[in-house]
Amino acid sequence: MERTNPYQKMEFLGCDGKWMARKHAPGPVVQLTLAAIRVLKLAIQGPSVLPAVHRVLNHRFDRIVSLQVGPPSRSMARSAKLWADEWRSEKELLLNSMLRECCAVEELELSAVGLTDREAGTLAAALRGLSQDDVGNPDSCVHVHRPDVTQHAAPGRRDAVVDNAEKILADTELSVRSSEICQLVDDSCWQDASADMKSVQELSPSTSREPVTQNHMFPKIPRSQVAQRRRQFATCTPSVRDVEADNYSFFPALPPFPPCAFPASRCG
Amino acid sequence: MRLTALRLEHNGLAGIGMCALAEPMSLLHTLNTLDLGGNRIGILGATALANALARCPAGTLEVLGVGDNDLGPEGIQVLAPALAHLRILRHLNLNGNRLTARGATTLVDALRCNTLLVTLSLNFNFLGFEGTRVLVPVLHAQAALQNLDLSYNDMGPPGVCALVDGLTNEEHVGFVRLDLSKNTLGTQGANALFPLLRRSAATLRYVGLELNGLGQQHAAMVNCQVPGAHVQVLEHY
Repeated sequence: MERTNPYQKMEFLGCDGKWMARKHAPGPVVQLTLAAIRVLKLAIQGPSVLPAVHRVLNHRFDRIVSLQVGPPSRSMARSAKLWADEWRSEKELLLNSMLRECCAVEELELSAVGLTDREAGTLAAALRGLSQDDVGNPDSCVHVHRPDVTQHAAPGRRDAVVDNAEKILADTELSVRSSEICQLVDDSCWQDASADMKSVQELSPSTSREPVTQNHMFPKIPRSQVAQRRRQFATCTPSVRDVEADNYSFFPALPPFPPCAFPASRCG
Repeated sequence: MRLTALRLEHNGLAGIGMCALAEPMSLLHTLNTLDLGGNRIGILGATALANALARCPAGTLEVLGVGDNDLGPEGIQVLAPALAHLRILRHLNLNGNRLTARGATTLVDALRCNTLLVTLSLNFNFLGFEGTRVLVPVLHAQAALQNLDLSYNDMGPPGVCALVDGLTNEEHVGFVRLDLSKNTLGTQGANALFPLLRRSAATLRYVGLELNGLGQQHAAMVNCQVPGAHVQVLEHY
């Protein structure tokens, strides 16, 4: 019997302060799960999750239409200066890397992250780059990555991956149940049964020791190609309103997943 | 890029930062929402922002938040031409900018051509009676105005009377949120407010009258005027 991935259409992820710290960086399950995420909300306690999020979404950031970084409420924002320092080390990543990959973004919120005037200049450069489709220095490059869905996990690591996914997703606004996560694991991550532990460690962001800012998965490409890509998104990327209206027509249906190879009892 | 919303609240950006952001902002021709609240852009930043907004198409920006930015009357004077340029602005937040009556006069001139406002937030602006009185004609013209926040302005009973007498536009859709907290209303000002409350009774969902020296008796009376609204009269600490 053919089954579809229930998370194929999951498009909103809210992580108001409950998403993982760096040590809980999401594993390959979530990496596949988030393939369709287009509204990403990162709030309080956020700085340490930024590299993890970046890694998780590193092949889908160009689909994000709404990126919200900041505290969940105005009242919290007013005390936010206290953790502006925490953001200091992550803002470079945010401004120089993530933002430049968000070529489809329509809503951008960077609240109470302690932007300095100098960093405002960096943000301005990013905005300027994003607002210019075909002009600019051809030598200047931005990071845009090629879709590369190669994440697989080994059967021996299944429980750990499920636990990790539960920990991550249970705190989101998605009310994910364990059974669903198991199904997701079965559907999405366990197709390559031949993958061994080594490949898991290589592919799982949670075990990667490579600094995110030097992520070589992002080939530098000329601005002219970026412009072409943006034009493509300008015509086919769904708007935030489409997302809110549950218009999923943009994403083509994935091929059906093969039958689950695991006992139904384990899947809840 | 189709950026429609840019929110950079509570970042402590000063005028220099705003100057840096102004140029790319002017290139964002699809921008519908811009929130710069909780920074400290001051007059310098207001100047840069005004230049950026003036270069934006007049028919795109609907939400503008410049609250808590230490603009002062001089800052709003700089910003006024840009506000006048934004013909379809619907939500305007200028909270906490110590505009005073002088700034209110400037604001009135800037908003004279706009009759589409749905939300106007002017709390903590030292408007007083004079500033409130000056604002009334503009408020009267806003038939779509649903959310009005004039709290913490010490308008006093005369200010409320001017407000109630002025807001008699028969085409007005009715208020949904009305906040007049901390305006030294006293019982006299609260009583003067009742006709306005009754006119919007069908639509009002929140009435803020805290810190006006009112007791439980007046709380009950206000509740009677607007039974469908959440009424905040008594002080909560």
